[in-house]
Amino acid sequence: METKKTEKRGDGLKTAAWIAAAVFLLSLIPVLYVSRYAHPLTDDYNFGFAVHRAVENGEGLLGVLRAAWATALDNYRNWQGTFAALFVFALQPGAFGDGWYFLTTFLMTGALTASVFTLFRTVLKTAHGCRRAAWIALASAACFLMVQRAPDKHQAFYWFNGSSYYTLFFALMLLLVAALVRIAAGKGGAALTVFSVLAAFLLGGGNYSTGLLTLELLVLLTAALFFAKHPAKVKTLVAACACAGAFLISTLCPGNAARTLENAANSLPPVTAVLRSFAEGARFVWTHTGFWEVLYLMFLFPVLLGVTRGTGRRFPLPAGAAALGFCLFCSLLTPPLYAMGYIGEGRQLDIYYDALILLWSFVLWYVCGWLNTRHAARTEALCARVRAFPKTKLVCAGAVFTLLCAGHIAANTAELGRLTGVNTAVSLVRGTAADYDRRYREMLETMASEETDVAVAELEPHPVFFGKLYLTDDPREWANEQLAAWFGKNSVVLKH
Amino acid sequence: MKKTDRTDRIIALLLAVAVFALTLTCTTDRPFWGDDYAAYLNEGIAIAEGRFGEQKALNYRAHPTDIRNPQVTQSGELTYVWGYPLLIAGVYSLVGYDAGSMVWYRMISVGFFAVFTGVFYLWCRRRFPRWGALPLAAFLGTCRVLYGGIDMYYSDVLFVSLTGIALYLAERFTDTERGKGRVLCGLLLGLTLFLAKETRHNGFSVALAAFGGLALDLFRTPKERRKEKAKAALIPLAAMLVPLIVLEGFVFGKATSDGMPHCDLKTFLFNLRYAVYTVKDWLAASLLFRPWSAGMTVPATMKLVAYGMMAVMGVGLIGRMLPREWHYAIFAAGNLIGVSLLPFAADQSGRYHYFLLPFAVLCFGYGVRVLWGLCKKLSKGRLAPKPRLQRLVWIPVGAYCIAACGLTLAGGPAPLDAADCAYGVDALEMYAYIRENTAEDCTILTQKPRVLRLNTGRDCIAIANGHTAGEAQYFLDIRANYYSDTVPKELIATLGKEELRRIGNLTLYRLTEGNGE
Repeated sequence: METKKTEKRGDGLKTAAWIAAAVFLLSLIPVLYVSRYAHPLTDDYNFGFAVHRAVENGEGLLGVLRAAWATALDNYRNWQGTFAALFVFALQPGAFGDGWYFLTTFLMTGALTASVFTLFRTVLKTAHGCRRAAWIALASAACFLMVQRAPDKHQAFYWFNGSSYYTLFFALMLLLVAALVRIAAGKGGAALTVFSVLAAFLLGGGNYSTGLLTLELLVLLTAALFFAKHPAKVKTLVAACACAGAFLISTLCPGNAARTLENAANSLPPVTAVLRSFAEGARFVWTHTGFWEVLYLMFLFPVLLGVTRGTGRRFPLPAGAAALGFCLFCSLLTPPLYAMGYIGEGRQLDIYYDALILLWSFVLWYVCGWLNTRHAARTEALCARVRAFPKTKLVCAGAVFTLLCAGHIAANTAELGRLTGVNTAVSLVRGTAADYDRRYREMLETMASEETDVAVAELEPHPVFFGKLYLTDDPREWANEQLAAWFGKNSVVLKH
Repeated sequence: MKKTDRTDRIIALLLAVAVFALTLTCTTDRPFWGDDYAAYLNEGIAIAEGRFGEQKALNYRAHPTDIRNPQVTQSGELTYVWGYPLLIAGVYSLVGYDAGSMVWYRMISVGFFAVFTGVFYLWCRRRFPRWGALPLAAFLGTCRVLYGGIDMYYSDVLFVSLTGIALYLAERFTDTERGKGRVLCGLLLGLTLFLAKETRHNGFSVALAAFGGLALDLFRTPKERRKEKAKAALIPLAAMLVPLIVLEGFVFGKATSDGMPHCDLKTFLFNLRYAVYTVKDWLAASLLFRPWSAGMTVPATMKLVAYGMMAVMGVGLIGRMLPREWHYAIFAAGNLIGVSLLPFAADQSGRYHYFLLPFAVLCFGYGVRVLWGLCKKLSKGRLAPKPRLQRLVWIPVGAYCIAACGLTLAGGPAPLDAADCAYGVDALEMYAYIRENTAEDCTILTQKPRVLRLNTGRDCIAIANGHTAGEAQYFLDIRANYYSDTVPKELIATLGKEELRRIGNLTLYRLTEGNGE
């Protein structure tokens, strides 16, 4: 009898997993399709310039890598220390031809999805040996939110410079965490260790928010492993050293010092920045936990309760774990607060949101685990009552809940329209994305003319998920200069 | 002292390889300035071509400052220290000398410095735990001050390296029991001491320090083993003296100094203060992985940190080095006094003080150890970290080592100032012009006579040692940023001359009659 019930529950989970994965994949279609209208903008021109020239001159793979290295080194010495990110910036797909720029969206959504799936799979399988359906269901739901509810869609998926800096490195961090979990579980081979060290080094040289969070995670994990006299402690120690070393290389660069002096009026003292991080972090959690996130947590709760049951894992001090998770989340906000006095641009908000989804998932997972260990009898009784609930009543409750949700959505259509998939789909239907593409191609035609001093119209109006060129009347402005250099013009000004 | 094991030797090797790669990447492919280096090159080429005797007279003729050593003025021959030229001769035999081969001459300093860094790790490892020795060696290995020394292509970095290697070998020699290992170690020690002795005038002090260490060990050895150890000490002594006597006595002769007078008390004190400031600036710049020239512009807080480090060094010197390794303290102090007695010690971009760096780093390590011991004692052991977590110290240590390499690499070579470079593009073009447009037996007056002789083969002089402008048919004016007064400005203004060619900061004039007085 018990086996039959378990099988039934398992089948339900499988169905949920299929539905979640299908919804997620379907929601991706317009997001990816609209990428054919995406084009390089602003800093893409600046950082991709050397590689673009190398490609035009047919210098081959080595030439491209050399150009990317030169770009990274030059910017490292004069602009900012995030050397790994600078190297990635230089390799923006548009540098290989405008037609390749659509890859940006595929790369970003692909990296984010792959990393979230890997993380969920690794954690849930390693810790609880759970079924595939469980982690697919949870990861699909999480990815759905991360893609659809990204605060700044343009900087998350359609602008290489912004998205590679944050979304790509955040995805790499999740992969590293997954690798570390495997290593800590004694399943990691030499290849995984090498990957961990390399990823830790690159993350230390990436954006400061992800770099700092990675470093904190590595130090905490290493300390825990040393305390437990775990055999994998040396591996994580090496990764921690690599991350800390790269972070130092990044923070101590001469360009940073010069920019810190420039931004001295806005930057916050270190202690103030840390304290403000908690306030801003709490505010972010509050403002970005809405209807969809609550829905996600409601979906997560029963699955995680089932996953964490009877696996023999201990989950002590749930409040402490939640507090630690919140502190780590807040540390993402500290670097921009310290350097600029505010929590950052849209691309930074995107990874805060991704981290928020993971934070909620972690807290809920931990609480479910705690309930299953500390209050096992009560939890089991609750589950038994739910299982014993008449099917017709259950269906009715489900229908009422669905109706309520539909009602909420119908009453807040603007909220629905803010989902990336809906937004891009509407844009495709109305033709605004295609209009944007047409205006960009007109700009390309102007640039292809014989004139050396050209006037270019701004790409406006533009869909919310695409950006503009930020041109001005002054040809010496950075955006004008970058565009002029890329297309080999003397000067570019804004056409009114 | 701890004995090093296989892991330490692997770390030392890795460190040496890393520093070799870093110094190759982060130093210039041609030397700054150039005239002193040309003296070494001239001697090296002469050794390789077997005309060292002739070179001594040419050295005297082209020397740009007045020589006060009567032995030299009477003989008309000047022998610069020939240890470094001996190595240069080897490179010359392999690659010859032209503008393109210049880069290979850097390998001498680069190679020895890389080996020294590895050896310095082992040196520190004998005194500190691995996590303490590694950052100390990494600090020295990524020290941009010494990279600046390599950029000059002088013998200073080589000498520091030889000193460090010799002193480490002396320690190893005392530890090594009988057998081939001890003989090999002794032979290497002797040869290193010989090379150090012939590389700089104060080179003999290295031998004194090394043998001082052996003597110290002898006193600490039980009586019954003393005789055997004393006999063993003859191996390095013989290995040093045999080539010294043969080469100095019968082949090249003893190096002669130009007999510069020692300075007065005021200058001596000024030089001592300069040494302190130099070390402070080195530390401040090295903490930020910047070349020394940037040491002057580092933030005030960094300078405070540097002074703090110097205070810790003082603690290490008094608390550990003086009571246990007084031969090192005497070596460092003796050389510091010797250098400070030179009137021009403060005009040498700190290169005369390079020898202080390894000892300063060692003293810092000692200082930290003494202070940490004190803290633990005062806290009655409460400050001691949990044994399980002690190894977490590797995170900052590893991070520092990685960051040191990364930041040094990213810094790249210091920009070469074309105006100061006697081997720069402008200078090489001018040398070619002189070779093509002047008679082979002509005499050229210039501020850098040795470098001009090396590159043109012409007889070149400065206003020194009785030379006058009347001897020369041409005058090459080198208006470097660092202006040399080997041809006084007042004289240049009054010279009767006709401009032949101007390339950058170099101008070649034909001298008219009547410039003799």
